[in-house]
Amino acid sequence: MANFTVLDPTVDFRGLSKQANLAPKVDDLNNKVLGLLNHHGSAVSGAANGRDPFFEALKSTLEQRYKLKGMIWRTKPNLSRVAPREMLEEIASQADLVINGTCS
Amino acid sequence: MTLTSERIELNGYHEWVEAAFERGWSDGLPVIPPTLDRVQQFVDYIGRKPEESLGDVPPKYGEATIEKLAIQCVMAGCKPAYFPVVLAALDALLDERFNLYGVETTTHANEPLTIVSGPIVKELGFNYADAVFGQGRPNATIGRAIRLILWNLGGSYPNLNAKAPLSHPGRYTFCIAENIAENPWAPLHKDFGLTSENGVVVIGVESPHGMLTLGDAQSTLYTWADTICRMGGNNIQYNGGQGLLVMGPKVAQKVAAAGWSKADIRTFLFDNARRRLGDLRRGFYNFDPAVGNPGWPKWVDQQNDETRVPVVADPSDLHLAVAGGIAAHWFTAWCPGWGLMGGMAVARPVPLPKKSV
Repeated sequence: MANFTVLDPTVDFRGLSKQANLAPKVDDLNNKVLGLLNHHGSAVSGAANGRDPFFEALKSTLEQRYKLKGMIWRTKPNLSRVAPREMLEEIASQADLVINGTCS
Repeated sequence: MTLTSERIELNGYHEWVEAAFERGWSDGLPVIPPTLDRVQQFVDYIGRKPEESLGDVPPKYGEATIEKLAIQCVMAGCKPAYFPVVLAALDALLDERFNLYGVETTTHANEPLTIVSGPIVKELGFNYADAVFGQGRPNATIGRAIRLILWNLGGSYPNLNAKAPLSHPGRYTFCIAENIAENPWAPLHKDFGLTSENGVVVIGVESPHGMLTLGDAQSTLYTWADTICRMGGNNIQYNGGQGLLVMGPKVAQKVAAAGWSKADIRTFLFDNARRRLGDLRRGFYNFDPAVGNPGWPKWVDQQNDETRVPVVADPSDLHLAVAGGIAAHWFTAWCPGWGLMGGMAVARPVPLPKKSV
């Protein structure tokens, strides 16, 4: 076959995965507002019906080690869907950093 | 209608084949070169502007323009007349209820299955008979186009963001057609309230699991009920999801001749495809009686070992299609769903093809 021209099938991805950069590291948790984002029903964390032993232990440990200014904990309604935008905006606007668990 | 994708010069067919792999434009199978002329044929056939967008495709959210979609269809080996089916299927996949982001990134082995119904099945030459989950050009290439869309526009890549450790072969192509002539009931898309002659239904399912039913209608239904509520299925562990039965035409006719409607079948399976709670407790990884399983309906008494837990939360979560050949009176495929997380069935009408191209 002679030379021929094809069209590029790809696109620039517009998702967060392309736009996102690593956030600056937090050097000290003291006097920070901590955000926690988990979900129901994780086999990893053992979460179910609002209980999440892993996150509860994490929260307790961090509270003991640091003088947190505050905390906001939100739980996704569906473990396999992206958290609702309002939930993400709420937690992002209030917290200095967010620990995102085994969420997708 | 100008095509704006970057143009790349290649020296011969084999250079194209290798370039497509090297550039990451294919997921492992060779693809047809999307030449300017061929892509233009698809855009002309559909009669829409090449820059028109159907939305962004998860998980990496590349924009699905008519031009980029036409390119994937060419690469998959579609005819232009297949393009409306691909567009309808993609529109369904992008419906919020389907949760395509989750389907593509979950560890569960469900993949998007497209089921085509209506006169278009014969008009486009789908294989709706023997080995319906296997060969057939429209089946294979439409399913393939959808996968290439998820690859090149969605950025759904194993070992990056597509995290299913196993998945199944439907990740290459996964499209079947109903056997319209042999179907004793209405076509599948009509179950969703569509009035169009042609329709597609997408649903996120595992690979088909065969069920052998040599007996009469009643025994057939009992066998289905026993099979679909297996303990290892996401359906019963994460109730609130959906599933699909694909009945061989002769099985469907046997059941229909005994007086069963689709609604009767759904009700029977909802009532009988259940597992004793005490048995489920022995198998579930994290079942804590004090907390219960949040996926099950509220009316399930989770404190009583004798409670019989249904495979789905509602009879309407069981979808029934009729496809395949007529050589056997005894085979049905159960396509398990993902559970409450997503992959819910979504239907869309498909316009009649304008001409055979």
